[in-house]
Amino acid sequence: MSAAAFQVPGALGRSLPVGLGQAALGSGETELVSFGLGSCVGLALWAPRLQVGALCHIMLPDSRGAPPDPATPARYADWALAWALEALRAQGCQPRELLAKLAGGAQVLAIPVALHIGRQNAEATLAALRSRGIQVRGTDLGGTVGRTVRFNPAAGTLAVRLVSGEQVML
Amino acid sequence: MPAGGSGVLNASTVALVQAGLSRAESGFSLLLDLPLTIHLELLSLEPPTVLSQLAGNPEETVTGIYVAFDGDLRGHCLLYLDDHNVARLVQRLLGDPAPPALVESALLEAGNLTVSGLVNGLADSGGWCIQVSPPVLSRDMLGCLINSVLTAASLSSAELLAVRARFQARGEAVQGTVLLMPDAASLGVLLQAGTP
Repeated sequence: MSAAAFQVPGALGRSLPVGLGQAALGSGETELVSFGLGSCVGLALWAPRLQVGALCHIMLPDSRGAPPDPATPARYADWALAWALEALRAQGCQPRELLAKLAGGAQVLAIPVALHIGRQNAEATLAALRSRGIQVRGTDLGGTVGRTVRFNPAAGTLAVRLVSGEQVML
Repeated sequence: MPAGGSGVLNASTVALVQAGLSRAESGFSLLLDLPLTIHLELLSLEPPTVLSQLAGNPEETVTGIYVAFDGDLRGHCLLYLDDHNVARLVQRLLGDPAPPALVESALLEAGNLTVSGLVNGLADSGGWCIQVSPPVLSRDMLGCLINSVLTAASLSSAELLAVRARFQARGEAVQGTVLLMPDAASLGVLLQAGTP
């Protein structure tokens, strides 16, 4: 995970950008941010007991069994969830105590080759969460506009901002 | 002009791309009767995850015009302008005030001319035959548009050649950025053509 920390005015103490295909673990005052989600899905997993969480910027639905690439742990939904569960387990969190929130999966450009990637990303991520028995506490999925998501691992909130400036809090 | 990435881009390939941009520049100026310059800013071979960080402020609102191209070379092309430059372009094309019903079609047409001109310029420079898809227009966050195109491109390529150029019409009047991303097979064709 190659993201670097930087300051965002009005945000928590520190913001860590989570780029395309990347994933990051955060706690306390470190806000995890994925800018400009289009067909991608931002998956936030939160452990309320320890107030720690992970944000994954998922690009594609299914690795079809390809071995994970450490440089892009969230390239696929299945890789992303496996990475996040392992990272959170290392912090002392069990899958059954985790809560999930996710946003994205839009179709921003009607590109023939990518017509259904957004919907497939959303469906694959939800299916992966179900298969692991993880509760989904909030979603903002689909549509035709992009989103920026900001995950606060201390409070477990996922703020979703649209290009219009409208904001939804999950 | 940084030519980064994995370093497989030789000088001849860079020259080939620049020749394509020059042809596009000449074509525009004739077609639009408008002095237009195209500056190659970046030519880089990188994974999509890296390219997404090179585009600019991901939360900036931009208007993007996308086309896919197919034939001897295949890939994706995205032109984007910020709101300020969209307003300038519309004013130039339609006058002031612009009839709202015509704005989208005017942007699509201008965008189509630009991206098709670039793709065709590259095709001419290498002697290739390329077909361009109808344009698709969207106004959204820059990161969102870029990432959508990169995600689509990543379905067929682990690394993408990104050609980023800025164009200016009449000096500083209108500025935009275009990303041209041939797929992996087309990259092989380009590199082979660029071999002295």
